[in-house]
Amino acid sequence: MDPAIVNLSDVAVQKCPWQAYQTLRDEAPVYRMPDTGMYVISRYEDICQIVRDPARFSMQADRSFLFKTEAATRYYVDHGYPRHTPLSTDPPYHTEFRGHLEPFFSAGRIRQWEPALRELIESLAGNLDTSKPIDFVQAFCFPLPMSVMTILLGLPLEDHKILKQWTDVWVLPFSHAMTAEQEMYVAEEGIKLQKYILAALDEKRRNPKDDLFSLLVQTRREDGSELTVKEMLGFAEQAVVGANETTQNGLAMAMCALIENPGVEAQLRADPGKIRTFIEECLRLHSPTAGMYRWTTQDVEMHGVTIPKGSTVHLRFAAANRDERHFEDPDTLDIERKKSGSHLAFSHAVHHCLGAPLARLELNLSFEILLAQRQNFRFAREQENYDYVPGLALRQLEYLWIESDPVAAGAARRSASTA
Amino acid sequence: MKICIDKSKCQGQKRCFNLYPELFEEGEDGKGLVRIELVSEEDEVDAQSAANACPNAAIVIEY
Repeated sequence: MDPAIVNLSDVAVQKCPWQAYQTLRDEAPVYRMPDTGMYVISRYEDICQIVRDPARFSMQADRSFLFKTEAATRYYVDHGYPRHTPLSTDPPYHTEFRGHLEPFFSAGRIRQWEPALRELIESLAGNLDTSKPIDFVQAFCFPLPMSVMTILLGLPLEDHKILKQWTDVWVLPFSHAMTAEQEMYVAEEGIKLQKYILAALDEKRRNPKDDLFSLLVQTRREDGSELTVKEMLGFAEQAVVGANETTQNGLAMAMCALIENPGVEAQLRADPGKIRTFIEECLRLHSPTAGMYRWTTQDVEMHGVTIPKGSTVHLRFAAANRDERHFEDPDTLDIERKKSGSHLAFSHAVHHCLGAPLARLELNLSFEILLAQRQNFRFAREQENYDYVPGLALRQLEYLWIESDPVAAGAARRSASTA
Repeated sequence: MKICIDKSKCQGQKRCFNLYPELFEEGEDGKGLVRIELVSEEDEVDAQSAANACPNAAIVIEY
């Protein structure tokens, strides 16, 4: 394939991008998208180099990156606070900002939530209507991540629905395809989310508990000062947004991979210890965050291409995760793969996903529980069992129709009780 | 799988022992220290994740 005909904005390519990625990695490792002007980076090692170089590849976007219309930009400023997530800042400020909350997200600390998460996921899996085909995305992947976040943030469980709605809207600007009306809608919903968070933080100030929002209001800098309101909001927004669609899509993609790789289900049932590698392989092969952005602070030369100062650089994690320069036989789902955990689905270096231990726990627990309760996972229809939502940055399943059977022990119990 | 920290690259950003305290601890110089060089199979994903999360590529993995 000629790199000149690679079009990542084409929905058909977004659905099945593997050949395009191969062409980019081999023929055009620094590729300028003709329609967006972004520079796409597709090799594993190149992406690692870039994300370790925040001085030249910054996270601080031009404001017009979010909204194209002045009205939406102004609405945000007039009614609330500009977006100020850790993901939009650079070191050294970022190091301190993120560092305050890092211990809360440590692997060990996250494991303390396991009993609560297990109970939640067992109930969600147990409530799946398995007498007929189900849309796994709607029934399981949609409600799970935000329900988990209400537990970690210390919010009422029933608020997961409204939080889900706001966070879905929050990420729409990254589609790079919004009308002026949609921009206003995004701005208005964004401010509603901010008001909700501010009220919740206020409540935690009065009644602190052992949760993330309480920690946010209790955090002190070295000089004893509190985080600013803008910082608390930014961190809270990042937490809900980061936890939402990524985990949702990770769950859906893993179910899809389980079904499309015959034999894997039996292997995981025989050795549940392999679920961990299976999840890593799904994240590697079907990275929910297919790409992220950086902005050049100066002209940068890479592979003979000059990326001018002020350019948007698109780091294509999904392409790097199938780079044969790093992964042997990269298109194969291999639950014995040693290097599986080194994928870039959670990015790398400075902005490596803070919620990675939480996402991994959710994904692993979900498949441990689903495999314990059900078996023979399969597509429910002859065709069109799933489809993708169009978009450049996120790889997202719109629906996924599946069927399964109860596990043998459960079937025996059920038939005994009805006898 | 074996892990070690390249002291010449580590800049003491605390991330390894903040996020994976079962694998790393803080040394007297404020830099990361590996607790157990030989990683158990159960901890291999965490070790790779820690290596990915280090801002300075100071965690080296031997497969």
